[in-house]
Amino acid sequence: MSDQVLRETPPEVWTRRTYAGRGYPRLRTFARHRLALIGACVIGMLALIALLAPVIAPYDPNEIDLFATSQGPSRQHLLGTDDIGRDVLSRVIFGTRVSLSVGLVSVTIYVLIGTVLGSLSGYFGGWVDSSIQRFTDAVMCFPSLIIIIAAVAIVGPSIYNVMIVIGLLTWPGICRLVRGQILTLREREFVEAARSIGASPARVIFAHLLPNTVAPVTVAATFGVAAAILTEAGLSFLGLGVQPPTPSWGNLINTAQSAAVLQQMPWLWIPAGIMIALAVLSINFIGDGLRDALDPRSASR
Amino acid sequence: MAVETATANAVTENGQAPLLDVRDLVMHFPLTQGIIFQKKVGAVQAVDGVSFSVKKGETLGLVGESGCGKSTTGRAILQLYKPTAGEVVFNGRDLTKLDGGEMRKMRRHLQMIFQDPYASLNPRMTVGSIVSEPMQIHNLVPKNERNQRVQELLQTVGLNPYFANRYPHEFSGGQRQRVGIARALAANPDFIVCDEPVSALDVSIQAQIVNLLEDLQNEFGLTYLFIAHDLSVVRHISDRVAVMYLGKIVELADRNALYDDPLHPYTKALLSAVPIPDPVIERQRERIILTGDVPSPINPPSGCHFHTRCPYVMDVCKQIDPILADQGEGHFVACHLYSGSGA
Repeated sequence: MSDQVLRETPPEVWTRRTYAGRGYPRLRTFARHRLALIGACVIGMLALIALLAPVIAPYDPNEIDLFATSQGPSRQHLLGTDDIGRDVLSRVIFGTRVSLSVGLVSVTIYVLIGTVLGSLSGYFGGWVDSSIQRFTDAVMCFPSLIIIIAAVAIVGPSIYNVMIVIGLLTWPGICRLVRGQILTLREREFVEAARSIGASPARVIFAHLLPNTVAPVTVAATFGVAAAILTEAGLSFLGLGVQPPTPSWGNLINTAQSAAVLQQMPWLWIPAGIMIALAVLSINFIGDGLRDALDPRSASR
Repeated sequence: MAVETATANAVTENGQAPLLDVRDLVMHFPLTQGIIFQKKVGAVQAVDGVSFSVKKGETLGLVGESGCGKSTTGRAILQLYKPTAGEVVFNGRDLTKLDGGEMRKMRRHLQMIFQDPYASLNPRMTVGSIVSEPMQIHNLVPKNERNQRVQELLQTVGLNPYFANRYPHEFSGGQRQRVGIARALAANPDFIVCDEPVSALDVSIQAQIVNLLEDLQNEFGLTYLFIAHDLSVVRHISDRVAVMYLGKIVELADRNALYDDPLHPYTKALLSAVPIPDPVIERQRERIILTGDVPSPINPPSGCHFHTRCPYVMDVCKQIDPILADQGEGHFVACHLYSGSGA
């Protein structure tokens, strides 16, 4: 940067975006991360597919056509039909809605719970910390898949129950992560500096501590979205998640439980499997890219 | 300790009331054992009955070796640590008695400049938001004028206002320290604790920062408590100097009196360690070399804390803790050598 630039009067724009530190440079760093960019594109497409499902899908996902059962891919049915003649492509498209929303909603629930409990625990310490941590230990001790199965069995299998149950049982990881981060950050001098200028505990937590935990939490959350999609798929595969006839990637794979389908009708389960793999991979790549982009030190000029 | 308090504060009573009056400040950090039932097994007696006062517009230097409680004193004054005992009277109000909310409001009058310019700025905030934060917290400047004010402050501390949208990691140590100073100034404080503000900087930058602090003092009528272990820096900036040893003030005097005519054996030893940049004088110079280490503040020596290393130690020193008494013209010293009978 030349002297000439430094001598210029400050431009008007710094008061806006860049001042708050959420400017375009972050976006550029993110975009420089190839895989993350590809991941973002894929997830963007999946989101579009989910939003526009009724427009894109060639058939009603629940429409039964008894004259075209168990057909392989063809002109009429690009991914074939299942044993009662429903169009697989349409079901995969509608399944995207279910899987993505389960991922996002359950992760939102547990990131919120985990962050709030973790930051209280880390910042206040003492008995607050001990009680929250013992509670976290207790929740962590539950074999989560079994509890989820039991809980879903009690409250009844439905997409909303799956979201809530996943959200309520998987927060301890984030809680521990945030607590650990806050514990180390709390001892840093800039936190003391914030207190010395009169910042309230809430301000210290929300303006100084939590922004410094964004990177690891975002990474953990993206992994969480992937895990939640997998959990939903697993539950639906077991018949405890999203109930048929509503399609989800998980209960589409469910059909592959019989050896006959697995061997002779791959069009029934391969597309849903690919979608799961694609979504989970893309989200993980986005997590990587975000981690780099959110760290101001890694942002090159 | 009542006597000590009365005498130590007498200096300022003939002038105007002191801006800050610290009385018998004690800061002990408990050492605990056990996980659930924490048993107190001792205490680090970081600050052990410190009294002094600072007049408006004055700079009080606080020197001493590492671990003697200088920084803890500064932080306990600002209530960043809750003092174990004692009073901190600022502008007639005892800060130790304020509750959390009242103290937070009070903080706009008392600011701090930190030692480590790398650790004391939030890496996720731009310089602009760091400097404007005190105004935001105390609602000092109308929102639409804050950016203007930030630019002014940056200019005041010698930074380009254009830097407001940069992050701390883009600056050098000296520049960051200037950001820290701008933040401390943002709330228009009366009193600033400078906690070793130059020890982490290069010598060439130290002078710049010290001069900046002096200029700001003249411009805004600031009062400083200047904590440092560098005797020459303290001599340069201070009006009066207090010397601490193991949690206590051993000597407090006007700058010139202290440097030219130190009374306490510890101060003498400390000053004799400063080299003189003249080889002839330097060779002839008499040095007092202290033996042994600083005793642990967990278990400080009985009587005078310095008796284990003092070259002039007497029997009385091991039993009775000397009081900080005036030896004339506001030159206070806590030593039995100067207390007549010794008791």
